[in-house]
Amino acid sequence: MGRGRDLQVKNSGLEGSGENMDINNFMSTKEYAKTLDQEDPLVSYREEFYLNPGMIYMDGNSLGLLSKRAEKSLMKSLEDWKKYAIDGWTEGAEPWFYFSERLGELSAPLVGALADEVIMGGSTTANLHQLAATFLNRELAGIRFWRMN
Amino acid sequence: MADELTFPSDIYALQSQLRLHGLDPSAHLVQVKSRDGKFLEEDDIIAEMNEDIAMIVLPTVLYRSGQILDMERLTKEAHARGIMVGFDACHSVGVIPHLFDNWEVDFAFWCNYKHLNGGPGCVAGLYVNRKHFARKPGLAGWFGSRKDKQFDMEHTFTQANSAGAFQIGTPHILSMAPLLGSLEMFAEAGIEHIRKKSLRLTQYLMDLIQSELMGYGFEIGSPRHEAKRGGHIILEHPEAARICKALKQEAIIPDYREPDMIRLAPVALYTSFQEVYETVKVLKKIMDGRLYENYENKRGIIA
Ligand SMILES: Cc1ncc(COP(=O)(O)O)c(C=O)c1O
Repeated sequence: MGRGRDLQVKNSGLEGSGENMDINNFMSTKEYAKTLDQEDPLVSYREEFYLNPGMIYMDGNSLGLLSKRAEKSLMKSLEDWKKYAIDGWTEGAEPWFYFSERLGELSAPLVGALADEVIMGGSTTANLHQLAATFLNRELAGIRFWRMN
Repeated sequence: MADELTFPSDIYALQSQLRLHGLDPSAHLVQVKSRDGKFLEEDDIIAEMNEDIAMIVLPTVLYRSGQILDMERLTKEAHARGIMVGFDACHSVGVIPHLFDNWEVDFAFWCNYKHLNGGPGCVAGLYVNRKHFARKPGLAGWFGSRKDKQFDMEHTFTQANSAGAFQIGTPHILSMAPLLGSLEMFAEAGIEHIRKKSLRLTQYLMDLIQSELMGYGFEIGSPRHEAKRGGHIILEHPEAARICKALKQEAIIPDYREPDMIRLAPVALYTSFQEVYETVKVLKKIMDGRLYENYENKRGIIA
């Protein structure tokens, strides 16, 4: 157990050694991990998620975990369906007719966009299809790719 | 133009779009090469930006190595040559801050079921820069209408003056509703704080790997440098597929990616440093006891 800076594990990363981190007192002890958790200002968010006891989830970049708040907002839309039926489009906790725009507005800060530049809808690949179909055409993209023929 | 390391679905989509224009993708889709099969050099991408390129689609963060591309620089260089630029932000949204509008990125798209915790099959995100609001959607539908016009039911499409114009049909309400609660947490916690913790987690993970897993044949396949590192770490090993199986047996859920990568994503909102510690400790146990030898070195259907 010791400091981990010596590059014993072959490192194929890009430039830099990662020395610019603020974790520069690295120790490979369990106590050190505990200290890092104690110093973590976001630690309270952990309690907002459904974590399986005894399981360590390192796959949040494939499928993120369910949070209590996400569950609650889903249940609200279900309740609105129950209570308002067709009128859920314009009534209820989050009127469905404006829901995509509303979520776009809430996501905009995460991508550094203006509120009306983001919309939620479709799927990733379907959205790429939409964008390619919009931006790749004769008039708009110019004559470039026709020249290649 | 795209790159040779990007997610396959993006390539299939671009290939089929070219075919719809009557163009052969093998001649008309340029895929920038990687020098080492892991990372992309911005210089190499820029070198390919010639007058034959109409549009570029690149990842913000590479799905395997986790490398962040310099979006601002690439956008500037592309625009200087009159080329449109769009980004696949699946692996960066909710992990790193972006300045799409400021950088004048033309368009972007991403999924919400990864770092944004919107649930399996959650609806996706779409960004279009304001200067393109007047463009006709390539795939139009009534939900792209101006809200006050939509129910006039006219056969002339009056498109919304926003990214909303690029919607097609009735939104998948139940597949987007979880996002509302989830996004609230991101707004509250702040993406800058999330990024800071994410970097600490990945740095800590790499430090532990270096200190505890030397001599077992692992190689870190992610950028060391903060400015280049996204939210996950790739650990390469010839036995990666079965090391992942052994990890799962120990109740640690990693992700396996072909051909030899263990992908580990400690997430700022819910992963603790002690869990990172535990993960490396168990990896060491698996290597010391050769526990991976109990499994076949082949992936399951997914991972
Ligand atoms: C980088 C990247 N792009 C695109 C996709 C495809 O997304 P979808 O299946 O939601 O269309 C994924 C899915 O994991 C991805 O990781």
